[in-house]
Amino acid sequence: MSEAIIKVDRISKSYRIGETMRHDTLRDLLSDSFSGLLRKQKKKNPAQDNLVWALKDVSFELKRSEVVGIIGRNGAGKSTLLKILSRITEPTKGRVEICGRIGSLLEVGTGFHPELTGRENIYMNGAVLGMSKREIDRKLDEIIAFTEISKFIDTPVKRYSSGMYVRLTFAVAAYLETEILLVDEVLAVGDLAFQKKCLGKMDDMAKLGRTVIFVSHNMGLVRYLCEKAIFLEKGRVEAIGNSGEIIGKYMKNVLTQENINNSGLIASDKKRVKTSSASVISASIEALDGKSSRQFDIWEPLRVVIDIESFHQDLTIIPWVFIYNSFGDTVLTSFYYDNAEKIKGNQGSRIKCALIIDPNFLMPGRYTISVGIFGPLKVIYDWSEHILSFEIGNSFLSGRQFDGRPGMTSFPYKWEVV
Amino acid sequence: MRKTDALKKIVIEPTKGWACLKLYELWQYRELFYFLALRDIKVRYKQTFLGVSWALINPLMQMFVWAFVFGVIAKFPSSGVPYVLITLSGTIAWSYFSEIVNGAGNAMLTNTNLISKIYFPRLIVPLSVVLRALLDFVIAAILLILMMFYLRVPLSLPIIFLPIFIVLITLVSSGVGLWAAAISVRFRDVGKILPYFIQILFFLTPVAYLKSAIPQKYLWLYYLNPVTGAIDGLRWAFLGITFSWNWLVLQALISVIIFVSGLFYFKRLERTFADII
Repeated sequence: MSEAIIKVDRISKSYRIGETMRHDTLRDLLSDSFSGLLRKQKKKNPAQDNLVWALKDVSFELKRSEVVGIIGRNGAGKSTLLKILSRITEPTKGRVEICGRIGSLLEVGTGFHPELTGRENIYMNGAVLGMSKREIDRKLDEIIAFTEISKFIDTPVKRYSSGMYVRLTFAVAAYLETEILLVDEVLAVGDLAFQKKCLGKMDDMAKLGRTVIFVSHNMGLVRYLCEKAIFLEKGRVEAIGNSGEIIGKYMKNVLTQENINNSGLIASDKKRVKTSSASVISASIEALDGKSSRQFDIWEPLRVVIDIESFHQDLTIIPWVFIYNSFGDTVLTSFYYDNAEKIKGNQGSRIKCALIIDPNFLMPGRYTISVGIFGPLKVIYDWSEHILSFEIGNSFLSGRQFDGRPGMTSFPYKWEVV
Repeated sequence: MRKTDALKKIVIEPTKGWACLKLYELWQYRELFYFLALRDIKVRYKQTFLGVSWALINPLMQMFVWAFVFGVIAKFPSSGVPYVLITLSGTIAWSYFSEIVNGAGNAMLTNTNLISKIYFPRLIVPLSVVLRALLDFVIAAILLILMMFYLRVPLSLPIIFLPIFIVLITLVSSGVGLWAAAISVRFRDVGKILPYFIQILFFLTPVAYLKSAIPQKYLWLYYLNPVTGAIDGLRWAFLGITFSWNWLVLQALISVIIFVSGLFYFKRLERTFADII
């Protein structure tokens, strides 16, 4: 049982900056070659500084039936690692040995064709993932039952909702009998009941001896699902071990000042999810009177202000804020549409919005926030993780002292004698 | 421990230089050929009014148009065979060729989401186009046989050699398709160039006319084109129009070279696909 099922030995992956942009058309190639001829002296100088190492000397071993969480900020190399393990892309250096088949669940609806029905897509997706038709035939009923959408199974998936997509995606991968399963945050979409079902299924998989590698930003889920975790930072393995311990390290790292751009200005070099539709220019935490602060009293309200720039005309923008506690649990998720209409952005327009957090809600402690914006259908436009931190103190400022009650949050709900 | 020993070990390493083809992997994923082709066939005629009958309409239209232009207006020689049969036999072979070249050449870009998200031997994507094209070919070939029956042109013994010529066209077209597919990942120009390439080659290949219309001094040039040999052979197999085996060896050799080099070139670029697509 102690034999390693995955052995990752010093793998590195480099990308050349602008590699995707260079020579995208023949014309570019021709003009580049031509100007290359004119500047002969600059002959082939392999510019090392153009190389970005997405992964650098990553090594670890996993055993059978381990469920392992991979955590780290955006751009830490988590996705690249999954891509290498699932053989989508090759490492630049190093070697991985894997005993068994690998199934991957990297994105919702991968390989689904919108015109095909749910049933046809199950076959299609199964085949792409390496299942034989006989294998799928045998499990088809179980798969369909798991999706809970048997009524729509003969409807083209272009008419499906995003939740139905997730159900179909997960069901196919879950019934794929591979020894190793790679899961990348697909559980983020979909309703709670189905998420629970998927989590239960992942637990079962581990009990059946399957190794699950789970990438997530949700520390609560990682702690719940995984006994082991790997913390990636800037393409390197920062720590590896018991998940509770590693999450603690990760959060400590996140909370240290140097990692938080506490000015609230988002540096352009900071790695984050970003598209050219709209972006978050800055974020700040302030008291209701507009004074910027990092230290609040538990009895004080505060607000998170987000400054957004839209690059397109008539763009629907939905800002959001995540608040994490020092254990990395998400304490609060708030979307702009919770209480207001959507924001429409115009080309070049700046939009400022604020989330107001009521007093008596957050317990004393250190918190970090992530802010982001997405468009319709939850397409992420921009997302900066852990960009600001603040502290809720149990101070005496207001004259009253915090009573030390337990709980993640607190709220002065009404009591009455009945 | 129970299964570990029996499990196949996968090693992930950077490959260098001309990677081997890993044909056993293609065999493992053989059902994917079928499913990808099935998907394309199903999707192609969805939401069309005439549905699958398009597979008949296309060759019929071309048959009449080319027969009119080359047979009636330009009065090209026909070796005593009804001219519509010459153009139809040319058209079905040519459609098969151009569909594979075009389909394979664009296959990488139409399947971007699969390629950037899931591992499977990438060769399957362009090669599965052959299956789909073969179905159209069979439908069109049945049409040809019906036309021959209607025009009282008998099928004769050479028909048993038909598979040889189909294999020949398959090799050239998928070879060209593989080159185009591999290049298309990086240079989107391929999608723009292919239609011109196919159109020009159409006139330089005896599709709508017979080889006997070509002046003697240019004939050797024609023989360098492997599609010429295949179409000539196909006409011989169906219609009994004279054909020489001598050049076929050279054409087969060229076909094999195009195909094998396409395979290796594609395989060499394969590892970069997910990064740059």
